[in-house]
Amino acid sequence: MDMSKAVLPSIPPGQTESQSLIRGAAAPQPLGVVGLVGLAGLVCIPFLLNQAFTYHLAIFICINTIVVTSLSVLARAGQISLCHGALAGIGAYASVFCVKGLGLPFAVGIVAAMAAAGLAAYLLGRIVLRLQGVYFVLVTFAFGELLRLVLLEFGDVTGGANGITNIPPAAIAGYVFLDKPAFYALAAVIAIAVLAFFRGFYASPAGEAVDAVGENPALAESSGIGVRRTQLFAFTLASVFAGLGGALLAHYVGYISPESFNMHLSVALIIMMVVGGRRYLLGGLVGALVMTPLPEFFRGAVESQDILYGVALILMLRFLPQGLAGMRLPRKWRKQP
Amino acid sequence: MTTSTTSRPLLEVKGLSKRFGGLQAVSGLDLHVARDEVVGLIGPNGAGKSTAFNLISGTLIPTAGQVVLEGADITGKAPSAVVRRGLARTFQSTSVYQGATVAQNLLRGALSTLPGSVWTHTVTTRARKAALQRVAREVDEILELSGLGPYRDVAAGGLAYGHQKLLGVAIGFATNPKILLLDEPAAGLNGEECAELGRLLQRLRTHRGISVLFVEHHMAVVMELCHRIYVLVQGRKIAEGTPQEIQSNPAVIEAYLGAPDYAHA
Amino acid sequence: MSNLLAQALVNGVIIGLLYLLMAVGFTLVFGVMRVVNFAHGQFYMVGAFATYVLMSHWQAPFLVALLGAFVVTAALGWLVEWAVLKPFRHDELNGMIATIGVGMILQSVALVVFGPDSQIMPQVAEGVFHLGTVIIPASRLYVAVCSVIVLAVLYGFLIHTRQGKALRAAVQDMEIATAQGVRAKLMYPLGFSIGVGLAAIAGALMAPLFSVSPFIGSTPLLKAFIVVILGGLGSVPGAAAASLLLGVSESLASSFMSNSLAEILIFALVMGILVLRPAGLLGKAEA
Repeated sequence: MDMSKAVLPSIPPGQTESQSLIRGAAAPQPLGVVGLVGLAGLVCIPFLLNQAFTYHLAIFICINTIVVTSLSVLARAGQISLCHGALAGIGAYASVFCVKGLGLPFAVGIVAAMAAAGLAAYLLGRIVLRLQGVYFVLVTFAFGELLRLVLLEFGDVTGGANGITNIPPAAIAGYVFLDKPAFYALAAVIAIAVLAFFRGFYASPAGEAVDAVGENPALAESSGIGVRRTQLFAFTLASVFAGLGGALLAHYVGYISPESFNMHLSVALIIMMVVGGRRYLLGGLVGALVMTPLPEFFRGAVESQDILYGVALILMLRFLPQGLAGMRLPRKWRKQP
Repeated sequence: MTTSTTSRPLLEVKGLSKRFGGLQAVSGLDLHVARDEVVGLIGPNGAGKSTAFNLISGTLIPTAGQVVLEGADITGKAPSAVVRRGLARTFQSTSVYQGATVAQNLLRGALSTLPGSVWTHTVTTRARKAALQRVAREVDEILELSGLGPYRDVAAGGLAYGHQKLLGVAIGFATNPKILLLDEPAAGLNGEECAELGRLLQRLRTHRGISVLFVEHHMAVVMELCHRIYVLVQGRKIAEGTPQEIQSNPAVIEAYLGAPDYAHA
Repeated sequence: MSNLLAQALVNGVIIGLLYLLMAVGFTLVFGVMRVVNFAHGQFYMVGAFATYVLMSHWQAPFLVALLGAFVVTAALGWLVEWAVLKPFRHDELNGMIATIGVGMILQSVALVVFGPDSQIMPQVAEGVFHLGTVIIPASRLYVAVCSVIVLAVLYGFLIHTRQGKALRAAVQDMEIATAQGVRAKLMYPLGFSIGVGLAAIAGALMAPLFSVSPFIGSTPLLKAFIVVILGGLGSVPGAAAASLLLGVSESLASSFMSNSLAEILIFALVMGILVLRPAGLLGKAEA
């Protein structure tokens, strides 16, 4: 994002949009009427269809959007995490511990989830980002596996292989989000808030640093942007939102187990990110939209579904490395190149 | 332009050495750069000039020796830390953010001059807004100085080679350094582009007094721009002095200026 | 007590040798292609299945099946490198993600062809050996001896043959190697196929000891990762030290606690080592 867009005075009257793109505008650009209407329409679809299953899918799409968009931050900084699912799991278990175990309000659970996931990522990153970049992905892979083992092993606290059932539903200021339409509304609002946050983020100097590090780490480092420090920051930020997604999942489904957050989830998140597009704000949404309903079409052939995912992943990387969002969204929806 | 020889040098390098396994790439290098000085580092290929740069800028850790910037020891510090202390360097191969616009490239160069760190840059406070405005103004200024103003919104990867090299220098300048290390800034440039580079360096130095240390093979550029020159051969300094002294130094002529791999002034 | 320790030590060394095979193959692939091969464990699984099929359906003796498994997997690796990974030769991040896709495909195909159940393989060797008070089943001794032989052959190949030297040069620095006449186009598939071939051998050696299923690939991958984290990616002495250390630690720990607890402890230990010695065991990992 051109920094001058954020600070120069607003567009003088009479200038067209493209002229303002050149001279700079006051703030990250408004999504545009078409974009907002489209998004609003998308959000309303489940209400219009009013079917339990559509709400169910839509809730998962919202949660996936949050988690995949956050994974993109790390990808844009030039790293891949194979434990993003596990960090969502940390958030889930942290929230459940607070809400079900300690009887604290849902809002506290959410904050605890984000803090726990962020802290875990920060500690892990501090240790491993001192090494060459490639070790990061190896360690996150190991960490993902090990977290699953920890959750299984310390069953007294975590419920072990049986998991934790009867998780209290989300509740804010006395209102309990018991039924699907209500929870969907909550999830949609949170997802949109997260997207809005990242829009501002990518326009900020921090977002610019993240992109610089991802595009040319040698140049970034030698012009004062610490690569490891920025990647640690991106990892922590990404994991905070993974924790949020995990907590939402827990309080929606009402049941979590170590297998809910295993390597399969982490890989699925990566696939969603690749399909949707890393470099685009709405890439996470697109990826979640496309991939979340897919298992439904595989009811009969569960074994072969991974073949399709693997092939799709490879084809996307080869032919559409910018993802679906890079294909046809109008210019003003995309992050500036 | 006079150079100050009485006050402490801006950059001091003492006994700098680097060994790669059995190869001694740089050995016992002493050099210094004063404020507002332009110093050249020349020598045949493989003389260890780029290695010396890497050692000074923190890209490589020295086997021995010290690098002191404004009295503070920066030996072995990470490159990004060294930049924040006021020493920036550019790379031989054109090094820009290919996919970003020219203005964005400069912005990214200036990010390290913002107060705080990446951890605090997500939130915009009033102080930060002021800093961002300052940065935006500086970006505009550098665009003007470098002559890249017309290309402000062009993706850097689409620029001509000569302009990309200029942009590389400009990005280094955007970090607000006290001293800028340029690694063969004139490589691949034709006569006119070399002249433009020389003019750019002049303008930059007038705009904000900085010192420059650069490695170059283009003798014309070196002799014209430098106050002093160091000559490196096989990792060792064999001579130092003004351009006139160097040009008439017999050891230098034998080792280097007589060799065919340079551009004669 | 000392008998228990001795037994655990011997078992640990044997397992360590298998980990070394995995790690060396993985390091070779990374060294040549700069790609973290997430499918490495699945090639281990392919090797195990190839051995199973050759022995059960074609009645091949074990050593023939072992060789066959290597050849089949190496050929498969060559095909995969050429068909899938070639476009990513200079795009490491995406190449790595592509290997995740490859791994998924391999596992799913095995699932479709063989089903999810574990297959038991015929025993390779009967009886046990006694080393003092330590009991070594002949089948495990087989594993150890074969691992050592394979590593020796690999060493010979890398040090003494033309292609092996070219491969080593490519691992050191592909650019310089190409400038000296090494053909990069050959090095990439060669490095990859030999690397995954080594994983296949590890799988083939393990197959008779445990069962064979499409799911056996994930754990060896994790072990390979831990070995290279500890020992430094690209360092064979480091990998050797780390794999033996890992094998022995696991063996010892499992004598006193559950397997998963042992794994957790070892991961915590690895993290601890990284905190204290950021450059890894042998100082190769520093940024």
